[in-house]
Formats: sequence, structure tokens, C-alpha cells
Amino acid sequence: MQTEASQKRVPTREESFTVFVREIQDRLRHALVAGHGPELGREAAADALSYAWEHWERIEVMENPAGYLYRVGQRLAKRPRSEALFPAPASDPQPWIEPALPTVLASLTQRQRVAVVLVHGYGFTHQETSDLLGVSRGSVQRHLDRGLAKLRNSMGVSND
Amino acid sequence: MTDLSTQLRSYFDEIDPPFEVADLMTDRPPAVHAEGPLRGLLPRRHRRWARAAIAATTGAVVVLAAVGGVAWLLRGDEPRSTVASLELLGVDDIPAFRATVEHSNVEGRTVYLASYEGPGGGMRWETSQQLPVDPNTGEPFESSVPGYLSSVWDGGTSAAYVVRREDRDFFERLEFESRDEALSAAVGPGDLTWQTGGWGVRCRGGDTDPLRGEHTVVGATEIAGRVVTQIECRTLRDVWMLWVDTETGLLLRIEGRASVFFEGSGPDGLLEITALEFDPDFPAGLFDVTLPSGAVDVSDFDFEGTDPSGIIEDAVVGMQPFYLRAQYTEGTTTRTLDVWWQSKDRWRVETVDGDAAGSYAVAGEPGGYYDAANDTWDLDPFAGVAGVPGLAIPIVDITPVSDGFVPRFEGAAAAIATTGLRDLGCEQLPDGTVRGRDVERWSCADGELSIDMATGLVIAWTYGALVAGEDFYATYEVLALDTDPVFDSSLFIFEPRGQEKSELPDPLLGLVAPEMRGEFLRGGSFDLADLRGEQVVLLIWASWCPPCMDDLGDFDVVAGARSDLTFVTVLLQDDPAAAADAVASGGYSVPVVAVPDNGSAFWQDTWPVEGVPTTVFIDADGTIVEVYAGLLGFDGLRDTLERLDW
Repeated sequence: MQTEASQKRVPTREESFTVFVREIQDRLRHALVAGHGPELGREAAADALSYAWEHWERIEVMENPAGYLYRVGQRLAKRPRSEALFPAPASDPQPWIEPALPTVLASLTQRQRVAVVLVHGYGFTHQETSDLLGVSRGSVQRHLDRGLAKLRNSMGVSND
Repeated sequence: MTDLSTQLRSYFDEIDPPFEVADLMTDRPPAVHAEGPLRGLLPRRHRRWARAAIAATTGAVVVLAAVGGVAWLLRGDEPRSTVASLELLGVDDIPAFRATVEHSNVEGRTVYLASYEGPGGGMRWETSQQLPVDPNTGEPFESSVPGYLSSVWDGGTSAAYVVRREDRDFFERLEFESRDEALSAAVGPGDLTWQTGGWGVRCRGGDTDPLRGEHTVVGATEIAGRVVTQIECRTLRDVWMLWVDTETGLLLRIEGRASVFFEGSGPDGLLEITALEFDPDFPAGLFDVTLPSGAVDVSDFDFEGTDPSGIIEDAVVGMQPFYLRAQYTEGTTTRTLDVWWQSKDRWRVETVDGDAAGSYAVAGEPGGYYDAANDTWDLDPFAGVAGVPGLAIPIVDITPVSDGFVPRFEGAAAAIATTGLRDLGCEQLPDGTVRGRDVERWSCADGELSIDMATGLVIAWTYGALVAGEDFYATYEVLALDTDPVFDSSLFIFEPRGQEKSELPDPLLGLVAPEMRGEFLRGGSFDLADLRGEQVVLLIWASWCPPCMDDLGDFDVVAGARSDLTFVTVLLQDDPAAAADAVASGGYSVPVVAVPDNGSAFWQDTWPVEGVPTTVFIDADGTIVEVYAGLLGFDGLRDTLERLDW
């Protein structure tokens, strides 16, 4: 427990970056992985965040750094990948994951996937998602609607 | 079955675990790309470290896939497609024509399509579907959907079809995306997944998708005077025969076993274009499309942004007989919704801040649900209102009693058609009141409904529970009802728009913090009274509660950043060993306290909290200045601290 009664102070570069990364990395990573699969998406997310560290003074004061870094990541992720877009889940995942999920995810458009994973999967708000993607909240809603409908239909198919 | 959002989360947690922040803070050369932030960032030589940092997880995923022995993960060497003849010609080469399409299957259902004008133009589209027999009436469900369908293809991997519904005078959009850029570029939209009106075609050569099939060109034939390529399409589930207009890529005929989109629908079908004719009435130029240069990014094809005619917006918001305001909460998400009722079977939902807007339709059939946005039927009356996962208002029966729409049942409670609810295993509870209105109450497997007796509207709905292993709890309540001038407002108790639901203050708020003693999990005794003089943030949680674990992580981060405050967490009805494991596996450093009996009595009598997680803010003089029941999250915690000026 921290009991020392110190005064509020300006956080160091490391501290502020750490808080920033913890705050946005889930959203950024999941969005890029939803869009490009884990192979490219994770690398792009890591590169984008490292870029943020290198340019922290500039990024820190941005109004929407998450959206900016997402665009950075989008750019970085645009190259051929060597594996399936989404790998099979672990053989005995907890909780249970439909084996068809990766396949069905791959059948969604990139933005549908991002909207579905962020909003439906992780409870990010439309605003947070629209900030990231740089599209209107209405668009997020539409991508989400379409993506979920597709997902549900296809998963339904996979259950029969 | 595990619900979809849990599956998504679980899958992404597996394939996309968090980075260590330290790994991201590598010393690298200063910015090397002065010419612009998005230009040629991070040359590949700088990426080596990143690959090392993520190798473990990505590698594990790849190994997992390999161990799983999932053959479809491996890219086959078979020809990826042989359908090159489907390539779209230049837009100038595509004649405008009108098509009449007949669809029938073994059960005699029919679908009619007509009038196709080529990319950017319109295909008149009218469907009639016969759905399974309604168990309540013995009559089959039927629907008929006339409209226009126009296609937009970006010349690359995406295509969109914009549908103008003739009966409802609004537009909707169907999107398609090829899952293989190279293939799509070579083949065109014939390669896209096609899914509309409950019919699906998914046929692709080899590749990585078990649901994709192989297709073989059977040969060329002729339909309605047009040269078509006949393609057999086999997936793991379906066998389809496609006849594709060789000149335009238009699907002229589909025959085969359909994907099952609604339970009980017949699997076999035939779709055929029997006549082609130009439709002079379609508003050509409605969509600003250049084909096939690839200039159109259909994912940006927004109704608001790119419809030069303005027709679509007008059509959607044209009439608003009345609205109700409702609040919906699930997990971390709370939305206030305005629901606009526009006609017997159509309503529009949007959040107060305009966050979610869309147009949705609800079937009048008992237990039926018609999703106009996707043109799909769902026989589950709890099917979601699009955009609000898991939320649905089961409109059991609605009878319009005037020219304008009045959502009133004929008669009062006795007329509420509850057969559907009973069939779902719901049980009727004693009548009650919600916000001063008489309601009929029903207990169903996933929640409790309160149906307004005067209107038949479901004005309160609660489902789920915050219990071990489940992380959802949602309530839906109509907060205010307003009407347009012609609406019979006597049906409702009017509350001004924007009036918020009143909430009882938390019983702890404003009190001097009651005594709390316990043991730190890592050893040593804890007494809250010892912290007098410090500003204390207290998180009450349990390891069996998933939202708590979210909150705990955020709590830990903020605790790390705010060493001037005291952060403590206390367990509620949890096994200290399980909690210790959870803290260790999360790598959290925030202290955890177990109260002696860890029990319910303490949390009911001494420290009455609603549930977990609950975050309590105690000022230096011991006063509880804020209590937050529920998932507070990083933003909430930060905002609360700001608000308290801590």
C-alpha cells in the first residue's frame, strides 16, 4: 500500500507512456488484429506503439492519439501475410469458442470485424471505436450491425 | 453455448495478449521520416525487435494451429479459381436491362427479382417468402419485399448492393467482401460472398476456409437469350449450381441447397432470371460511382456522405409518430435510446447523442422478428435490436387503431397476446406497476418483462445476473414517453425529454466509513481506521466476477500512477487463494484484504454494497464521498478522481 503522502507531481515520460499504453493498447491491438490477423496486426500494433514512444512528446498532446496510431498501424500492416488470417482457437479453450469463429470472422469486412470485436467483444463505446477508425459513429453502428448479423447467421449455420 | 461476445473476447484474449510496456520503450534512432507521419514509417530493419517481442505469442498460436491438425489452415496448391470468365467488363459495356427472376423450391416458395441496370444502376427486387408454419395459428408466415437493388463494385475486393425498399421507402445496403484480394482482382464479384434475403452463396476455390467450397465450371449455356457460365459450387455444407451471365457477372440463376438462415426453412431452392428488361424509373446517378477503376471504397459508402440525391435521409426520417426514451445497460455500456415508432412494423432507434442510428422493423407475427436492415427473419422474439447486443423488445402483437400508428392492444391486458411468451416457457407473475403504469409481468428464462397494459409496449426488461461465471446484467427501462401532436398522449404519463431516471443515493454515501478489519493476502493485518488522514480508494471485488477483474487491472494502473492516494482492494465472498492467484497472474501490485468471515453478513449489515465491483472513495476525514457500484473502468476512475479534485 502506498501510504506516503507525496504531493501530486508531473509524471515522467515513462510513467505517462505506461499509463497511455495501458489505456489504449487493448483497443489498438484488438482493432489491428481484428483487421489483419494476429501475425500482421500484433506486429503493426507493437510498431505503432513503439513509434509513439519515439515520438511521445508529439503523440502525448494529440487530441486523438489512438486514432492516429491506428492509422499508423493500418499502414504498417499492409503487406502479404503468410498464414491464415485467423488461426484456430486452442483445442480446449475456456470458455468454449466455436471452431468456426475464426473462419466466420475472416468472412466479415475489415471494419465489420473491428467494430464487432471492439464493441461487442470488449464493450468499447461507439465513440472510442469511431475515434480509432476515423469514421462516424453511425458507420460504426452499421459495421457492427452487419458484422453481428453475418456472424450470428454463420455461427448459426455452424451449429446445425 | 457460450455467448458470442464471450467467445470473441476469449478468442482475442488468446490470439492477442497484451504487450509488456517495457518492450515498447526501446531506444531507437530519432524520427527518420520527416516527410510525414504516415509515410514509410518504421523501415523493416526497426521491426526486428518487435517480431522478437511478439514471437512467443504468435508462435504459440501458429503451433496451436498446427497441433490442432486443421488442414484448412494450410494453403493448398489446387487452382484457386477457374472462373475468369466472370470478370466484369467496363461499365460502358454493360447494357442496362430489366430482369425478372423467379425463385422456387421444393415447398413452392417463390422469390421474384427484376430489373438490373448494371453497376451503379438498379435491379428491381421483389421477394416473397413463405416461412414455416406459425405454431399459434397454423398459418404459414409470409412476407413480400419489393424494391430496387443496385450494385457497386470497387473493382477490387469489395462490393455493395444498395437496396431501395419500395414498400417502406428507405434504403439499405448489403455489403460483400472477397476474402482474397488476388483472387478477387482476377475474378470479380462472381467470387464474392453473396448473401441477401435469407439466401446465401459461398463458393470459393480451396484456400483456407472450411466453409468455402470448390467450384468447377460445368460449361456454358443460355438463359433468356443470354450466354451464361454454369458453375458447380461445393462447400462442406452446400451444393450449389450457379448460372452467371458471362458478360456482366450477374448471377442469373442459383439452384441448390441453401445455407440455413432461419430454423425450419427449406434447404433447397432455385433462383432464376427469366426476363430482362430496362427499368426507366430507377434514379440513375443516385450513387456517384466510377467503375471499375477501384476508386470507390465501399466501406466508406455512407448514406449520409455520398448520396447526392438526399433521398435516403429523407426517407428514413420522414415520419415519427411518437417516440419513447429508454435506457439500456449491459456491462460497461449504458445507452439512452430514443425509439421512434414510425409504422406498425417499423421503428427507429437512436441514442440521445446520436450514437446509434438505424431503422429496424419488428414483425407483427407472434414470436416473429423481421430484421429489415439485413432482410432476415428471426423467429426468436428476443432477437436483438441491431446495435444493442442482446436487447430486444418482443412485440407480441400490435393493432393499429387509427390512420397514424398507435401501439395499442385492442382492449387492455386481456388482449395482450401472450401465447408466444407461454410457448417460450415464460410464466406470468402478478401484475404490477412500473413508473406509475400498470404492467403485466412475465418471468422468462432470461429475464423479466413488464408489459404496459395500455399500450403493449415492453417498458421494463431485466435479464441476466451478476453471478459467478456470468458477466452480464442488463436492464431496459422506458424512462420517458413523448408523442407527436396527433398521437393519443393520454396513453402515457408524460415526462419531459431528457429527464433522467432518479436513483436512490447509495446508503453508504456521506457516512463516515464503517469499521473494516481484515488481513492482507500477503500478510499483515488491515484496519481501515488506520488510514484516517489519507484519501482512500477502496475497490470491493471478487475473482469470480469478470468485470471485477477488468476493474482490478485499471485500479492497479491508476494506483501505480497516483502514489499520493491510498488504493486498497477488499474481497467480497471470494476464496482468498483464488483471489491471490488472480492478482499474481495479472501481475498486480495493489494490496488485497480479506475480511474475517469474508461473508455476506458483513457486506449486508456493516458495509451494505449492491454487489461487485464497487468502488468507494473515502476522504481524509473518513467520510465516504463517492460510491460507484459497477464497472468503473480506467476512464471512470480517472474522471471520478478529477471530479473529486483528488
